[in-house]
Amino acid sequence: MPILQFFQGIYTFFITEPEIAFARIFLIALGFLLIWLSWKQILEPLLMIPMGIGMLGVNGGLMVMEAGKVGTLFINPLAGNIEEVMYFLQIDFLQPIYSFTFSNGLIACLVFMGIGAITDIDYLLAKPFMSLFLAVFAEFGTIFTLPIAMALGLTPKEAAAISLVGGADGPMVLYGSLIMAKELFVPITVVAYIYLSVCYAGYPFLTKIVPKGLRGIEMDWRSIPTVSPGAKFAFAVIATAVLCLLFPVAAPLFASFFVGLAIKEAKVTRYIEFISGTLLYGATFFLGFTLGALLGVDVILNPKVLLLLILGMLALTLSGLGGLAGGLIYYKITKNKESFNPLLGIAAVSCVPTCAKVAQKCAFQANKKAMILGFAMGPNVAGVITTAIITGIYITGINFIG
Amino acid sequence: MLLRAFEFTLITFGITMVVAFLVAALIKAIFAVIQRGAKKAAKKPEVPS
Repeated sequence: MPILQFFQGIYTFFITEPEIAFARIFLIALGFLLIWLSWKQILEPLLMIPMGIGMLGVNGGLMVMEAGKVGTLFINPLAGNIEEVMYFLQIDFLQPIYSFTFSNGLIACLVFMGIGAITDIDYLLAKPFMSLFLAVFAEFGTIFTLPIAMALGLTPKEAAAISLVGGADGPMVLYGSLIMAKELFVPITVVAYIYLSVCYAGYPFLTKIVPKGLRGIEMDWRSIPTVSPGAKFAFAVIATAVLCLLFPVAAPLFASFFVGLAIKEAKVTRYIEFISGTLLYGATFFLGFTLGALLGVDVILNPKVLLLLILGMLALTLSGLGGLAGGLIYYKITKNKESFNPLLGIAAVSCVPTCAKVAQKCAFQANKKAMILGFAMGPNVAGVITTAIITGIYITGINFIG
Repeated sequence: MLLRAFEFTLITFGITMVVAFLVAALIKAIFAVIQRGAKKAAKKPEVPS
């Protein structure tokens, strides 16, 4: 079929093994599906449109390279030694992004800086014990998926990496899986981002376990003391020092998050505009696009992918249920029952600000006067801190299992 | 191996609880110190010119 050799994307369907050809067709279809769902606003378009286009590009753009090998002009994540990396830097157009921002976790840290610069910590500072209590409960999936994943045959490091999906924090999953399970970081991160995109639609079903009367509890704004920018700034500075001292492996994440927060509270306007605008959205765009371009056939043909899909969903479900259980327990033990809505528990799952919005949406459905979004941001941000703590513990301690 | 994994899980939960409590205490302390400073500043009598 010499004429087909002019159209190598199609030609390579016929010269590769059938399972590779079918996997490519499946991934191209999945790319179209992600783009369509993002267009319909069912998935997060900020991330999923670049990811879908990346998938279409890398799975459609297979061609015959040097020495008859089949490859693309996107990325070679397997380039190991310096000579190989230097070679692919000159060939593959996304290789510089991958080599200089993915493989060292920089892109996750850039996204974290941006999140820090747009995060409101008033309620966390006003009610720290309650916020962090809920956040620990909302880590049930992160903590209890680990032994389940190991029982299902994953190595301790792989199990720890997929468990981090329960923390519902994309950059943290990327960072943790890059360090603990580099060979699985693409499917784990993609699974995490796809699930996080559907959290807004999926989590409201879990909140039905809270009685409707409790879901509609109105919270009193007057119960929140005013927090000065000085207190928030001091917290950002001191928390960086303390948390980095405790967990040096997660220090890049802590430092990135709190530098964004400190700049916001110090009102350094030009940095705020840069970090919360160009840097955050630039990093998110390249994160999505590069992840899509990494989703080649080798990923989907990995037999562990199905297991990762199941475990990712389990981790997020357990975290959501844990958060709601924490909310109900706090409701039982608090003296001021009239001004605490147990839905704050689901907001403690640290997908900022999606889970806080879920809490608000469900409270509003139960009672049109219930406005809890401002309160929900406290446990939501506390969730980021507890997820980073667990990431630190996993990276440091997972070798003790064996 | 699985027993050790479960043990590690419980240790992780314990450490997370303790560190989260420490962070909460730290926040409370910062908040208290800054609020006290603000109150003192508000109470300070004006210096006559």
